[in-house]
Amino acid sequence: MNDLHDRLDRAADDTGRPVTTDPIELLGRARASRRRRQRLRIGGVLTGAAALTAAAALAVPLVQGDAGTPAESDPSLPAATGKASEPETAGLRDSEIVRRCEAQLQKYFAYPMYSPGKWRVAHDRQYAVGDLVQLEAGQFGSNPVLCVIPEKGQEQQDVPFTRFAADTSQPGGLAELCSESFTSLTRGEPWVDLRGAEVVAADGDGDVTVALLRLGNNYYSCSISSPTWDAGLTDVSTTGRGDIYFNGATTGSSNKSIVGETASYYTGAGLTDPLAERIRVTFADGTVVERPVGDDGAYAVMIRVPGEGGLLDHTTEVLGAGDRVLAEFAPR
Amino acid sequence: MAGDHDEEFVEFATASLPGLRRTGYLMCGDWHRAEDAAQEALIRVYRSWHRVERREGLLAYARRTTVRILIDESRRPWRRETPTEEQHDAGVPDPTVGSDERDAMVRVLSSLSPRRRACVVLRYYHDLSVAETARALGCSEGTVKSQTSDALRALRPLVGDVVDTRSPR
Repeated sequence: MNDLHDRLDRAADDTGRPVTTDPIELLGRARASRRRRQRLRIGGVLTGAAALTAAAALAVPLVQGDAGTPAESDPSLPAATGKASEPETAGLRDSEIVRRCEAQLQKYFAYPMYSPGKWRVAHDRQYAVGDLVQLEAGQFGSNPVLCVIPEKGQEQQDVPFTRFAADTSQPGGLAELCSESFTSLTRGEPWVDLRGAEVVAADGDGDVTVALLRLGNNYYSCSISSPTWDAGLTDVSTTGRGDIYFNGATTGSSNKSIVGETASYYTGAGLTDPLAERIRVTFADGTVVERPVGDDGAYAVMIRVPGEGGLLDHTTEVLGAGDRVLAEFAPR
Repeated sequence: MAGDHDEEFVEFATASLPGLRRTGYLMCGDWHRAEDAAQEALIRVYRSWHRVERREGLLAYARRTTVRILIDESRRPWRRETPTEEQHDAGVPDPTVGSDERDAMVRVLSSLSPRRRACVVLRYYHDLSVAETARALGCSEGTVKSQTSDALRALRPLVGDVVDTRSPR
Protein backbone atom coordinates (compact mmCIF):
# COMPACT_ATOMS: atom_id res chain seq x y z
CA MET A 1 0.00 0.00 0.00
CA ASN A 2 1.48 3.34 -0.93
CA ASP A 3 1.09 6.56 0.95
CA LEU A 4 1.58 8.91 -1.96
CA HIS A 5 -1.89 10.34 -1.54
CA ASP A 6 -1.22 11.10 2.12
CA ARG A 7 2.11 12.69 1.32
CA LEU A 8 0.58 14.87 -1.35
CA ASP A 9 -2.15 15.81 1.07
CA ARG A 10 0.42 16.82 3.67
CA ALA A 11 2.49 18.69 1.09
CA ALA A 12 -0.57 20.77 0.22
CA ASP A 13 -1.31 21.58 3.85
CA ASP A 14 -2.39 25.22 3.91
CA THR A 15 -2.56 25.62 7.65
CA GLY A 16 -1.69 29.21 8.46
CA ARG A 17 -2.16 30.34 4.86
CA PRO A 18 -5.70 31.61 4.61
CA VAL A 19 -7.28 32.23 1.24
CA THR A 20 -7.10 35.93 0.43
CA THR A 21 -9.65 35.99 -2.36
CA ASP A 22 -12.88 37.87 -1.70
CA PRO A 23 -15.64 35.84 -3.43
CA ILE A 24 -17.77 38.96 -3.95
CA GLU A 25 -14.91 40.73 -5.69
CA LEU A 26 -14.29 37.58 -7.72
CA LEU A 27 -17.95 37.59 -8.77
CA GLY A 28 -17.51 41.12 -10.10
CA ARG A 29 -14.51 40.04 -12.16
CA ALA A 30 -16.36 37.00 -13.43
CA ARG A 31 -19.32 39.07 -14.55
CA ALA A 32 -17.07 41.56 -16.30
CA SER A 33 -15.26 38.73 -18.02
CA ARG A 34 -18.53 37.29 -19.27
CA ARG A 35 -19.64 40.66 -20.62
CA ARG A 36 -16.36 41.06 -22.49
CA ARG A 37 -16.71 37.62 -24.00
CA GLN A 38 -20.29 38.28 -25.08
CA ARG A 39 -19.19 41.48 -26.82
CA LEU A 40 -16.39 39.55 -28.51
CA ARG A 41 -18.84 36.95 -29.81
CA ILE A 42 -21.13 39.58 -31.27
CA GLY A 43 -18.19 41.28 -32.93
CA GLY A 44 -16.96 37.95 -34.22
CA VAL A 45 -20.25 37.22 -35.94
CA LEU A 46 -20.35 40.61 -37.62
CA THR A 47 -16.81 40.38 -38.90
CA GLY A 48 -16.81 36.66 -39.66
CA ALA A 49 -17.41 36.93 -43.38
CA ALA A 50 -14.75 39.57 -43.83
CA ALA A 51 -12.30 37.57 -41.77
CA LEU A 52 -12.87 34.50 -43.90
CA THR A 53 -11.97 36.46 -46.99
CA ALA A 54 -8.92 37.89 -45.30
CA ALA A 55 -7.87 34.45 -44.14
CA ALA A 56 -7.87 33.20 -47.69
CA ALA A 57 -5.78 36.09 -48.92
CA LEU A 58 -3.24 36.00 -46.12
CA ALA A 59 -2.83 32.26 -46.01
CA VAL A 60 -1.97 31.88 -49.66
CA PRO A 61 1.80 31.80 -49.15
CA LEU A 62 1.41 28.97 -46.69
CA VAL A 63 -1.60 27.05 -47.87
CA GLN A 64 -2.33 27.15 -51.54
CA GLY A 65 -5.92 27.13 -52.68
CA ASP A 66 -9.20 28.90 -52.32
CA ALA A 67 -10.91 29.47 -49.05
CA GLY A 68 -14.07 28.12 -47.65
CA THR A 69 -15.08 25.51 -50.18
CA PRO A 70 -13.97 21.90 -50.15
CA ALA A 71 -11.93 21.11 -53.22
CA GLU A 72 -12.91 17.51 -53.65
CA SER A 73 -16.32 17.48 -52.08
CA ASP A 74 -18.89 15.25 -53.66
CA PRO A 75 -21.78 17.45 -54.80
CA SER A 76 -24.17 14.70 -53.85
CA LEU A 77 -23.08 15.00 -50.24
CA PRO A 78 -24.07 17.69 -47.79
CA ALA A 79 -21.36 20.33 -48.00
CA ALA A 80 -19.82 21.62 -44.78
CA THR A 81 -19.23 25.11 -46.02
CA GLY A 82 -20.90 26.93 -43.20
CA LYS A 83 -23.54 28.10 -45.68
CA ALA A 84 -27.08 26.94 -45.30
CA SER A 85 -29.00 25.34 -48.08
CA GLU A 86 -32.56 26.42 -48.55
CA PRO A 87 -35.12 26.48 -47.15
CA GLU A 88 -33.64 25.85 -43.67
CA THR A 89 -31.28 28.78 -43.45
CA ALA A 90 -30.42 28.76 -39.76
CA GLY A 91 -31.49 28.06 -36.26
CA LEU A 92 -31.91 24.29 -36.16
CA ARG A 93 -32.67 23.17 -32.65
CA ASP A 94 -30.11 20.98 -30.94
CA SER A 95 -32.50 18.09 -30.61
CA GLU A 96 -33.28 18.25 -34.33
CA ILE A 97 -29.58 18.31 -35.21
CA VAL A 98 -28.97 15.21 -33.09
CA ARG A 99 -31.95 13.46 -34.67
CA ARG A 100 -30.79 14.17 -38.20
CA CYS A 101 -27.24 13.06 -37.42
CA GLU A 102 -28.13 9.75 -35.80
CA ALA A 103 -27.84 7.73 -39.01
CA GLN A 104 -24.44 9.23 -39.77
CA LEU A 105 -23.16 8.26 -36.34
CA GLN A 106 -23.64 4.52 -36.86
CA LYS A 107 -20.39 4.17 -38.77
CA TYR A 108 -18.44 5.39 -35.75
CA PHE A 109 -19.50 2.48 -33.60
CA ALA A 110 -17.29 0.06 -35.51
CA TYR A 111 -14.39 1.71 -33.70
CA PRO A 112 -13.56 1.19 -30.02
CA MET A 113 -13.27 4.91 -29.30
CA TYR A 114 -16.98 5.41 -29.88
CA SER A 115 -20.09 4.01 -28.34
CA PRO A 116 -23.78 4.82 -28.65
CA GLY A 117 -24.95 7.32 -26.14
CA LYS A 118 -27.06 10.35 -25.46
CA TRP A 119 -25.61 12.86 -27.88
CA ARG A 120 -25.76 16.61 -27.63
CA VAL A 121 -24.45 19.49 -29.70
CA ALA A 122 -21.04 20.45 -28.34
CA HIS A 123 -20.94 24.17 -29.05
CA ASP A 124 -23.21 27.15 -28.53
CA ARG A 125 -23.82 28.54 -32.00
CA GLN A 126 -26.42 28.56 -34.72
CA TYR A 127 -26.32 25.64 -37.15
CA ALA A 128 -27.91 25.19 -40.56
CA VAL A 129 -28.16 22.37 -43.06
CA GLY A 130 -24.73 21.55 -44.48
CA ASP A 131 -22.86 22.77 -41.43
CA LEU A 132 -20.26 20.63 -39.75
CA VAL A 133 -21.25 19.94 -36.14
CA GLN A 134 -19.54 18.18 -33.29
CA LEU A 135 -21.66 16.02 -31.03
CA GLU A 136 -20.45 14.80 -27.68
CA ALA A 137 -21.64 12.19 -25.26
CA GLY A 138 -20.42 13.57 -21.97
CA GLN A 139 -17.20 13.80 -20.10
CA PHE A 140 -16.50 10.11 -19.72
CA GLY A 141 -18.56 8.67 -22.54
CA SER A 142 -17.68 8.11 -26.17
CA ASN A 143 -15.20 10.29 -28.00
CA PRO A 144 -16.90 13.24 -29.71
CA VAL A 145 -18.14 12.71 -33.28
CA LEU A 146 -18.55 14.92 -36.33
CA CYS A 147 -21.62 15.13 -38.53
CA VAL A 148 -22.60 17.15 -41.58
CA ILE A 149 -26.18 18.22 -40.91
CA PRO A 150 -28.35 16.70 -43.64
CA GLU A 151 -31.50 18.14 -45.10
CA LYS A 152 -34.74 16.81 -43.77
CA GLY A 153 -35.47 13.55 -45.57
CA GLN A 154 -31.80 13.00 -46.45
CA GLU A 155 -30.76 11.63 -43.06
CA GLN A 156 -29.79 8.20 -44.44
CA GLN A 157 -27.30 9.64 -46.93
CA ASP A 158 -23.85 8.48 -45.92
CA VAL A 159 -21.06 10.93 -45.22
CA PRO A 160 -17.70 9.11 -45.34
CA PHE A 161 -14.95 9.72 -42.80
CA THR A 162 -12.85 11.23 -45.57
CA ARG A 163 -15.24 14.18 -45.44
CA PHE A 164 -13.64 15.10 -42.11
CA ALA A 165 -10.03 14.95 -43.32
CA ALA A 166 -8.12 18.17 -42.81
CA ASP A 167 -6.98 19.79 -46.04
CA THR A 168 -4.29 22.44 -45.80
CA SER A 169 -5.20 23.76 -49.24
CA GLN A 170 -8.67 24.72 -47.97
CA PRO A 171 -8.15 27.24 -45.16
CA GLY A 172 -11.85 27.95 -44.75
CA GLY A 173 -12.73 24.29 -44.37
CA LEU A 174 -9.74 23.71 -42.12
CA ALA A 175 -10.76 26.56 -39.81
CA GLU A 176 -14.28 25.17 -39.63
CA LEU A 177 -12.95 21.69 -38.83
CA CYS A 178 -10.72 23.12 -36.11
CA SER A 179 -13.59 25.16 -34.74
CA GLU A 180 -15.86 22.16 -34.38
CA SER A 181 -13.07 19.91 -33.08
CA PHE A 182 -12.37 22.35 -30.26
CA THR A 183 -13.38 20.29 -27.26
CA SER A 184 -13.86 22.67 -24.39
CA LEU A 185 -14.74 19.87 -22.00
CA THR A 186 -11.31 18.29 -22.14
CA ARG A 187 -9.25 21.42 -22.56
CA GLY A 188 -10.79 23.40 -19.76
CA GLU A 189 -11.02 26.41 -22.04
CA PRO A 190 -14.24 28.06 -23.19
CA TRP A 191 -15.04 27.20 -26.78
CA VAL A 192 -14.12 29.79 -29.37
CA ASP A 193 -15.76 29.94 -32.78
CA LEU A 194 -12.75 29.68 -35.09
CA ARG A 195 -14.61 29.62 -38.40
CA GLY A 196 -13.42 33.10 -39.18
CA ALA A 197 -9.84 32.48 -38.09
CA GLU A 198 -6.87 32.97 -40.35
CA VAL A 199 -4.74 29.90 -41.07
CA VAL A 200 -1.27 31.30 -40.43
CA ALA A 201 0.71 28.10 -40.84
CA ALA A 202 -0.15 24.50 -41.65
CA ASP A 203 1.62 21.17 -42.04
CA GLY A 204 0.34 17.66 -42.56
CA ASP A 205 -0.34 14.84 -44.92
CA GLY A 206 -4.05 14.13 -44.72
CA ASP A 207 -3.78 11.57 -41.93
CA VAL A 208 -2.53 14.09 -39.43
CA THR A 209 -2.63 17.84 -39.94
CA VAL A 210 -1.50 20.70 -37.73
CA ALA A 211 -2.39 24.35 -38.16
CA LEU A 212 -1.77 27.62 -36.40
CA LEU A 213 -4.86 29.82 -36.44
CA ARG A 214 -5.16 33.49 -35.56
CA LEU A 215 -8.37 35.13 -34.44
CA GLY A 216 -7.95 38.75 -33.41
CA ASN A 217 -4.88 38.84 -31.21
CA ASN A 218 -5.22 35.24 -30.13
CA TYR A 219 -3.52 32.18 -31.58
CA TYR A 220 -4.80 28.62 -31.59
CA SER A 221 -3.01 25.36 -32.22
CA CYS A 222 -5.12 22.87 -34.13
CA SER A 223 -4.11 19.25 -34.58
CA ILE A 224 -6.47 16.99 -36.51
CA SER A 225 -6.24 13.26 -37.11
CA SER A 226 -8.76 11.00 -38.78
CA PRO A 227 -11.81 10.10 -36.70
CA THR A 228 -10.89 6.45 -37.32
CA TRP A 229 -7.59 6.87 -35.52
CA ASP A 230 -7.26 6.05 -31.86
CA ALA A 231 -3.96 7.86 -31.53
CA GLY A 232 -5.56 10.82 -29.83
CA LEU A 233 -3.90 13.55 -31.86
CA THR A 234 -6.94 15.73 -32.39
CA ASP A 235 -6.58 18.73 -30.13
CA VAL A 236 -7.38 22.43 -30.39
CA SER A 237 -6.18 24.90 -27.80
CA THR A 238 -4.88 28.38 -27.28
CA THR A 239 -1.19 28.89 -27.96
CA GLY A 240 1.28 31.71 -28.16
CA ARG A 241 4.96 32.55 -28.26
CA GLY A 242 7.04 30.29 -26.10
CA ASP A 243 9.00 27.09 -25.79
CA ILE A 244 8.45 24.39 -28.38
CA TYR A 245 7.23 21.06 -27.08
CA PHE A 246 5.42 18.60 -29.30
CA ASN A 247 2.46 16.43 -28.52
CA GLY A 248 3.25 12.85 -29.33
CA ALA A 249 1.28 9.76 -30.23
CA THR A 250 2.02 6.33 -31.60
CA THR A 251 0.20 4.06 -34.02
CA GLY A 252 0.51 0.43 -35.06
CA SER A 253 -0.41 -2.86 -33.43
CA SER A 254 2.79 -2.99 -31.42
CA ASN A 255 1.70 0.26 -29.83
CA LYS A 256 -1.75 -1.15 -29.12
CA SER A 257 -3.30 1.09 -31.74
CA ILE A 258 -5.89 0.06 -34.31
CA VAL A 259 -4.10 2.12 -36.97
CA GLY A 260 -2.18 -0.19 -39.29
CA GLU A 261 1.06 1.68 -39.78
CA THR A 262 3.57 1.55 -36.95
CA ALA A 263 4.92 5.03 -36.43
CA SER A 264 5.23 7.86 -33.97
CA TYR A 265 3.82 11.33 -34.57
CA TYR A 266 4.83 14.71 -33.20
CA THR A 267 2.69 17.79 -33.57
CA GLY A 268 2.90 21.40 -32.48
CA ALA A 269 2.01 24.91 -33.57
CA GLY A 270 2.69 28.31 -32.14
CA LEU A 271 5.03 31.26 -32.32
CA THR A 272 8.75 31.12 -31.77
CA ASP A 273 11.56 33.64 -32.17
CA PRO A 274 10.54 36.23 -34.82
CA LEU A 275 14.01 35.86 -36.36
CA ALA A 276 13.61 32.12 -36.80
CA GLU A 277 13.77 30.66 -40.28
CA ARG A 278 13.58 26.93 -39.60
CA ILE A 279 12.86 24.42 -36.88
CA ARG A 280 15.09 21.35 -36.76
CA VAL A 281 14.08 18.27 -34.79
CA THR A 282 16.71 15.60 -34.11
CA PHE A 283 15.36 12.28 -32.89
CA ALA A 284 17.19 9.67 -30.83
CA ASP A 285 17.18 7.23 -33.76
CA GLY A 286 19.12 9.69 -35.88
CA THR A 287 16.18 11.02 -37.86
CA VAL A 288 16.53 14.74 -38.52
CA VAL A 289 13.56 16.76 -39.76
CA GLU A 290 13.36 20.44 -40.62
CA ARG A 291 10.35 22.65 -41.14
CA PRO A 292 10.20 26.29 -42.27
CA VAL A 293 9.11 29.06 -39.92
CA GLY A 294 6.82 31.76 -41.26
CA ASP A 295 6.52 35.46 -40.55
CA ASP A 296 6.86 36.55 -36.94
CA GLY A 297 7.99 33.08 -35.90
CA ALA A 298 4.77 31.29 -36.83
CA TYR A 299 5.13 27.55 -37.16
CA ALA A 300 3.07 24.41 -37.56
CA VAL A 301 4.90 21.11 -37.44
CA MET A 302 3.72 17.55 -38.03
CA ILE A 303 6.39 14.86 -38.10
CA ARG A 304 5.85 11.18 -38.76
CA VAL A 305 8.68 8.82 -37.83
CA PRO A 306 7.98 5.30 -39.12
CA GLY A 307 8.99 2.32 -37.03
CA GLU A 308 8.59 0.77 -33.63
CA GLY A 309 9.94 1.94 -30.35
CA GLY A 310 7.24 4.31 -29.25
CA LEU A 311 7.82 8.02 -28.83
CA LEU A 312 11.41 9.01 -29.40
CA ASP A 313 13.47 11.41 -27.36
CA HIS A 314 14.26 14.44 -29.45
CA THR A 315 15.85 17.83 -29.40
CA THR A 316 14.29 20.82 -31.10
CA GLU A 317 16.42 23.67 -32.41
CA VAL A 318 15.15 27.01 -33.63
CA LEU A 319 17.46 28.20 -36.39
CA GLY A 320 17.92 31.71 -37.68
CA ALA A 321 19.93 33.09 -40.58
CA GLY A 322 23.13 31.22 -41.25
CA ASP A 323 21.94 28.26 -39.16
CA ARG A 324 22.44 30.23 -35.98
CA VAL A 325 20.74 28.38 -33.13
CA LEU A 326 18.33 30.82 -31.51
CA ALA A 327 16.86 28.38 -29.03
CA GLU A 328 17.01 24.72 -28.15
CA PHE A 329 14.48 22.58 -26.34
CA ALA A 330 14.58 19.03 -25.06
CA PRO A 331 11.70 17.28 -23.30
CA ARG A 332 12.16 17.06 -19.58
CA MET B 1 -27.64 41.98 -16.45
CA ALA B 2 -27.10 40.26 -13.17
CA GLY B 3 -26.44 36.54 -13.59
CA ASP B 4 -29.13 34.20 -12.34
CA HIS B 5 -26.53 32.14 -10.53
CA ASP B 6 -24.56 34.87 -8.78
CA GLU B 7 -25.49 33.72 -5.32
CA GLU B 8 -24.67 30.12 -6.13
CA PHE B 9 -21.37 31.20 -7.61
CA VAL B 10 -20.33 33.03 -4.46
CA GLU B 11 -21.20 29.99 -2.37
CA PHE B 12 -19.38 27.68 -4.74
CA ALA B 13 -16.31 29.90 -4.91
CA THR B 14 -16.15 30.18 -1.13
CA ALA B 15 -16.40 26.44 -0.70
CA SER B 16 -14.10 25.35 -3.51
CA LEU B 17 -11.31 27.92 -3.45
CA PRO B 18 -9.23 26.30 -0.68
CA GLY B 19 -9.23 22.92 -2.41
CA LEU B 20 -8.50 24.40 -5.82
CA ARG B 21 -5.66 26.38 -4.33
CA ARG B 22 -4.16 23.26 -2.77
CA THR B 23 -4.34 21.50 -6.14
CA GLY B 24 -2.70 24.50 -7.74
CA TYR B 25 0.02 24.55 -5.10
CA LEU B 26 0.96 20.96 -5.85
CA MET B 27 1.14 21.96 -9.51
CA CYS B 28 3.32 25.05 -9.11
CA GLY B 29 4.75 25.14 -5.57
CA ASP B 30 3.64 28.74 -5.09
CA TRP B 31 0.59 29.65 -3.04
CA HIS B 32 0.05 32.98 -4.81
CA ARG B 33 0.16 31.53 -8.31
CA ALA B 34 -2.03 28.70 -7.13
CA GLU B 35 -4.65 31.13 -5.88
CA ASP B 36 -4.47 33.15 -9.09
CA ALA B 37 -5.06 30.00 -11.12
CA ALA B 38 -7.97 29.00 -8.89
CA GLN B 39 -9.52 32.44 -9.36
CA GLU B 40 -9.19 32.24 -13.13
CA ALA B 41 -10.69 28.75 -13.13
CA LEU B 42 -13.66 29.99 -11.14
CA ILE B 43 -14.18 32.88 -13.54
CA ARG B 44 -14.32 30.37 -16.39
CA VAL B 45 -16.79 28.31 -14.39
CA TYR B 46 -19.00 31.38 -14.05
CA ARG B 47 -18.88 32.09 -17.77
CA SER B 48 -20.15 28.61 -18.62
CA TRP B 49 -22.11 27.93 -15.44
CA HIS B 50 -25.19 26.16 -16.78
CA ARG B 51 -23.35 24.16 -19.39
CA VAL B 52 -20.68 23.00 -16.94
CA GLU B 53 -23.21 22.24 -14.23
CA ARG B 54 -25.30 20.18 -16.62
CA ARG B 55 -22.49 18.22 -18.20
CA GLU B 56 -19.62 17.67 -15.88
CA GLY B 57 -20.12 19.16 -12.49
CA LEU B 58 -18.74 22.45 -11.32
CA LEU B 59 -15.99 21.17 -9.07
CA ALA B 60 -14.55 18.70 -11.56
CA TYR B 61 -14.47 21.40 -14.22
CA ALA B 62 -12.91 23.95 -11.88
CA ARG B 63 -10.24 21.50 -10.71
CA ARG B 64 -9.36 20.45 -14.23
CA THR B 65 -9.25 24.03 -15.39
CA THR B 66 -6.93 25.03 -12.54
CA VAL B 67 -4.51 22.30 -13.59
CA ARG B 68 -4.74 23.25 -17.25
CA ILE B 69 -4.14 26.90 -16.55
CA LEU B 70 -0.95 26.11 -14.68
CA ILE B 71 0.25 23.73 -17.39
CA ASP B 72 -0.37 26.32 -20.08
CA GLU B 73 1.20 29.05 -17.99
CA SER B 74 4.36 27.01 -17.53
CA ARG B 75 4.85 26.95 -21.30
CA ARG B 76 5.14 30.70 -21.53
CA PRO B 77 8.67 31.99 -21.56
CA TRP B 78 8.08 34.65 -18.94
CA ARG B 79 6.83 31.94 -16.62
CA ARG B 80 9.37 29.34 -17.63
CA GLU B 81 9.80 27.06 -14.71
CA THR B 82 13.05 26.55 -12.96
CA PRO B 83 12.82 24.10 -10.13
CA THR B 84 14.32 26.05 -7.31
CA GLU B 85 13.75 25.88 -3.63
CA GLU B 86 12.65 29.50 -3.59
CA GLN B 87 9.58 28.71 -5.61
CA HIS B 88 7.70 27.21 -2.74
CA ASP B 89 7.32 28.11 0.86
CA ALA B 90 7.00 25.79 3.74
CA GLY B 91 4.07 27.37 5.50
CA VAL B 92 3.41 27.23 9.19
CA PRO B 93 4.84 24.12 10.78
CA ASP B 94 2.39 21.34 11.31
CA PRO B 95 2.89 19.52 14.61
CA THR B 96 2.34 16.14 13.00
CA VAL B 97 4.48 16.53 9.93
CA GLY B 98 7.97 17.82 9.45
CA SER B 99 8.19 20.74 7.07
CA ASP B 100 11.22 19.05 5.56
CA GLU B 101 9.01 16.31 4.24
CA ARG B 102 6.55 18.79 2.77
CA ASP B 103 9.37 20.73 1.20
CA ALA B 104 10.91 17.62 -0.23
CA MET B 105 7.67 16.52 -1.85
CA VAL B 106 7.02 19.92 -3.39
CA ARG B 107 10.61 20.13 -4.56
CA VAL B 108 10.42 16.75 -6.28
CA LEU B 109 7.12 17.67 -7.87
CA SER B 110 8.68 20.90 -9.12
CA SER B 111 11.39 18.91 -10.85
CA LEU B 112 8.81 17.10 -12.99
CA SER B 113 7.46 18.44 -16.25
CA PRO B 114 4.06 20.11 -15.79
CA ARG B 115 2.20 17.29 -17.50
CA ARG B 116 3.85 14.60 -15.41
CA ARG B 117 3.12 16.64 -12.32
CA ALA B 118 -0.50 16.94 -13.39
CA CYS B 119 -0.71 13.18 -13.85
CA VAL B 120 0.55 12.63 -10.30
CA VAL B 121 -1.76 15.25 -8.81
CA LEU B 122 -4.86 14.03 -10.65
CA ARG B 123 -4.15 10.32 -10.25
CA TYR B 124 -2.85 10.23 -6.69
CA TYR B 125 -4.13 13.36 -4.99
CA HIS B 126 -7.58 13.41 -6.57
CA ASP B 127 -7.75 9.67 -7.22
CA LEU B 128 -8.89 10.00 -10.82
CA SER B 129 -8.68 6.97 -13.06
CA VAL B 130 -6.38 6.79 -16.08
CA ALA B 131 -9.33 7.49 -18.36
CA GLU B 132 -10.52 10.43 -16.29
CA THR B 133 -7.01 11.87 -16.15
CA ALA B 134 -6.65 11.50 -19.92
CA ARG B 135 -9.89 13.36 -20.48
CA ALA B 136 -8.92 16.04 -18.01
CA LEU B 137 -5.58 16.62 -19.71
CA GLY B 138 -6.83 16.16 -23.25
CA CYS B 139 -4.43 13.35 -24.09
CA SER B 140 -4.51 9.61 -24.63
CA GLU B 141 -4.65 7.07 -21.83
CA GLY B 142 -1.31 5.73 -23.03
CA THR B 143 0.23 9.13 -22.54
CA VAL B 144 -1.14 9.30 -19.00
CA LYS B 145 0.28 5.88 -18.20
CA SER B 146 3.72 6.68 -19.56
CA GLN B 147 3.85 10.14 -17.97
CA THR B 148 2.70 8.75 -14.64
CA SER B 149 5.26 5.97 -14.82
CA ASP B 150 8.04 8.44 -15.51
CA ALA B 151 6.86 10.65 -12.68
CA LEU B 152 6.71 7.82 -10.18
CA ARG B 153 10.23 6.84 -11.15
CA ALA B 154 11.36 10.33 -10.23
CA LEU B 155 9.39 10.23 -6.98
CA ARG B 156 10.71 6.83 -5.97
CA PRO B 157 13.63 8.09 -3.87
CA LEU B 158 11.16 10.03 -1.78
CA VAL B 159 8.14 7.79 -1.56
CA GLY B 160 9.47 4.36 -2.53
CA ASP B 161 7.67 2.08 -4.95
CA VAL B 162 4.09 3.18 -5.42
CA VAL B 163 1.74 0.29 -5.80
CA ASP B 164 -1.36 1.26 -7.69
CA THR B 165 -4.16 -0.72 -6.12
CA ARG B 166 -6.91 0.97 -8.09
CA SER B 167 -8.58 -0.32 -11.19
CA PRO B 168 -7.32 1.42 -14.35
CA ARG B 169 -10.96 1.75 -15.52
